[in-house]
Amino acid sequence: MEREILIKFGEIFLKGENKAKFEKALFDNINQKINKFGIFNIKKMGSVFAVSGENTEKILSIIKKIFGISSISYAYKTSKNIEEIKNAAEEEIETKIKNKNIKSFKIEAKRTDKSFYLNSLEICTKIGEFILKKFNLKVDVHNPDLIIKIEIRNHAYVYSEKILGAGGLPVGTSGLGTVMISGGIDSPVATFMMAKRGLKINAVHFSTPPYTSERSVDKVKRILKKISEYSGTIKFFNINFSEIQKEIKKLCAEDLVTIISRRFMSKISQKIAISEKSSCLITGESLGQVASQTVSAINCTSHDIFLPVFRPLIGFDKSEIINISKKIGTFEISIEDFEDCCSLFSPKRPKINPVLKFVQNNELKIKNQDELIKNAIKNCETCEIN
Amino acid sequence: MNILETKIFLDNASTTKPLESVIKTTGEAMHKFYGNASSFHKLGIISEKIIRETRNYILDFLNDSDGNFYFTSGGTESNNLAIFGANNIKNLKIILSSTIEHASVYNSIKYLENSGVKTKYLVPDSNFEISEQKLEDLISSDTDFISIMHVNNETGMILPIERISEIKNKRCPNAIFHVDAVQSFGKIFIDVKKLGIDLLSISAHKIHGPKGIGGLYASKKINLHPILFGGKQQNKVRPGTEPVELISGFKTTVKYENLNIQKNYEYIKKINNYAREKFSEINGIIINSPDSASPYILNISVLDIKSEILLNFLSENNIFVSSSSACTGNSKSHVLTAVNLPENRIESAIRISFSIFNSVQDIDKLCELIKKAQKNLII
Repeated sequence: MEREILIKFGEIFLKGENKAKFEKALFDNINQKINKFGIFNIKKMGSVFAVSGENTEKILSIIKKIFGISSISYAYKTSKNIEEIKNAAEEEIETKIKNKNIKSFKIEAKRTDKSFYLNSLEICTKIGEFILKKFNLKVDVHNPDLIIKIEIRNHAYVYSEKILGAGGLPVGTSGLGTVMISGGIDSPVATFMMAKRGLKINAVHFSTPPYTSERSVDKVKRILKKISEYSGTIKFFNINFSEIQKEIKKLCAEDLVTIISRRFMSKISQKIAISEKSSCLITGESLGQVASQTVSAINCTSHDIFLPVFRPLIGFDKSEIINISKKIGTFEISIEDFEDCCSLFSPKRPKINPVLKFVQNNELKIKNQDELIKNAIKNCETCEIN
Repeated sequence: MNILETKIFLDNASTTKPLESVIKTTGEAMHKFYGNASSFHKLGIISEKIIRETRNYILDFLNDSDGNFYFTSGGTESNNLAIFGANNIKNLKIILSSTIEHASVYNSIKYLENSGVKTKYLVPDSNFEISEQKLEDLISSDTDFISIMHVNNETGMILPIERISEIKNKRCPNAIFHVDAVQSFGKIFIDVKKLGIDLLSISAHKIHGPKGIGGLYASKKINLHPILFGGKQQNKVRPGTEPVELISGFKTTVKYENLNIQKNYEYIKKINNYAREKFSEINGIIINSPDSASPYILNISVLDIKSEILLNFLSENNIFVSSSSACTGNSKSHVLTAVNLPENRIESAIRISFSIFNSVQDIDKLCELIKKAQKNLII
């Protein structure tokens, strides 16, 4: 029997006049993701997308990761003939009974096509009677073990399971964000969260070769590849930060090395963001987690940055961040043991409450800041990750 | 990386570049001798013959044509087969090993230790020496298994195999003597009979052969039990279809080493001496390997530059060396820790290991880059 994937939109409904734009973005995102795996046809039916093609089952896991979708159902598709609908319901129950202890059921019918000769209640009755005869099951409308859903659209659809979608908004509908990504646990999660709110992602990474190895850049790329399963293609910028890092270490106060480094990183990220027409920065900062993430440290880091900086993890505990990172599959990569950009240059006792004026003055010891930043951007390595 | 760029490979203790003749014979065997050595047909018989000839050749090279030789996937498996295949844990009283063994021996012995077997370890001092007294103290009449490496993979230290064998024969003649010869086979001549070795682990890819093939020599008196279970291949001791192509490549490389062992040793010794001389002229370099070490391995510390950083820097410049041993990745060298080197030397230690494909010019280039690193990387 033919099967199709029914995709229901999430918050898109809330978006009034923008609805069409959001639906198109979601349509394009789905199309781009699944067409790598074969030829599939997507059509819009009211507030639902139906995906058909050969072996649709294999793309279910891909669709589960696309933002802007509230639920997914793997439905039998039949003509609008009550006998065929009965057959589909029978098949659905048979597969479910095999794997689960099911004693009771309920039918829910919805008729988008009002010209169909039976109304919702009549569909429920007919199919319910049929199932009662065929299977040793009871009807329970309050707490059934299985709900058979029937939708009459331009075809009839029968399914029982609603798979939760990834939620959020279609990637791209909120614009383009620039994340400052390390190989750690937090920034990948922050990236995921902002992609979920509809941002397409550019990622800037700061490496310090030869103090860090090629493997640590590769690690970040593998993390981004994992996130791209949700966010779609990510443009990656790898900045060689060694020269700047060495200048800071040489000229600035030891306990301010981290803060001043982060100020440089923010400035570089902002410059890249602007040249790529991205309108915000994203970081994985979580208040108080480390010395550079106290209120005064964050104030120092972003004081000279005019783009909005989104910090989706600011109120999260580490354990909450780890949970998300495990869920999206970046955790295993993040905990691989490589020196990352900051660990070699991090001061033994970083300033916990740096004073902005003092930091700004100390930073002035580096005379050729503009040139250093310009060179770093000029020599940056870029690639697309998907 | 552009593969056409000149590469200087000084990481030959981790693996070596295969000989052209090895690539040729391995490829040819894949083309022609793809029969399963256990099959009764002609192609099977050819494969069986290649395996038998290689086995006999290696046994002759080790000077025990009556012994047994089992092909394995390499050094790690050979060491595991020796330790777990020759011993019945229930009957074991005391195992003697050293603190500087390769992880495949060290962790196997640790496993036995955790299962209740009593273990003793030889600990070299910071000059990489094991005193006569220590040997006499540790080899006792109730020792029943000894596993000692011939050449240490991180420092090139040569362990006193001959002396251990002599004391063993005096104190505990029935003890089984296993030698991990992965870093010495084909480089230093080994006469298993003269040295009284019962089990000897070897690997092909350390001597320009293919990866994925090695073996375990076992003297006739040793009764080995399998650690993998399967068919009847290799007297059931090491079941599984034999990889004829890898064995062909193995034979080619062993033949080459056999014919050139002395000449190659002299050549490598010359490079090693040159390197030691050059390094001694550079401030901040300390040579960790003892003077008596195998010339194939030279461990040095470039003070104030962490091993990984220097390694990355050299790698960017197409010179490949190793920090600690390649098999244990990022962790701190257990060998240098065991011999009690100061922390700053352990942190900055790199292992340079040579092969016949190296030349003294490689050392000049390396020295030049180390000086550059000292100038630019110390922060």
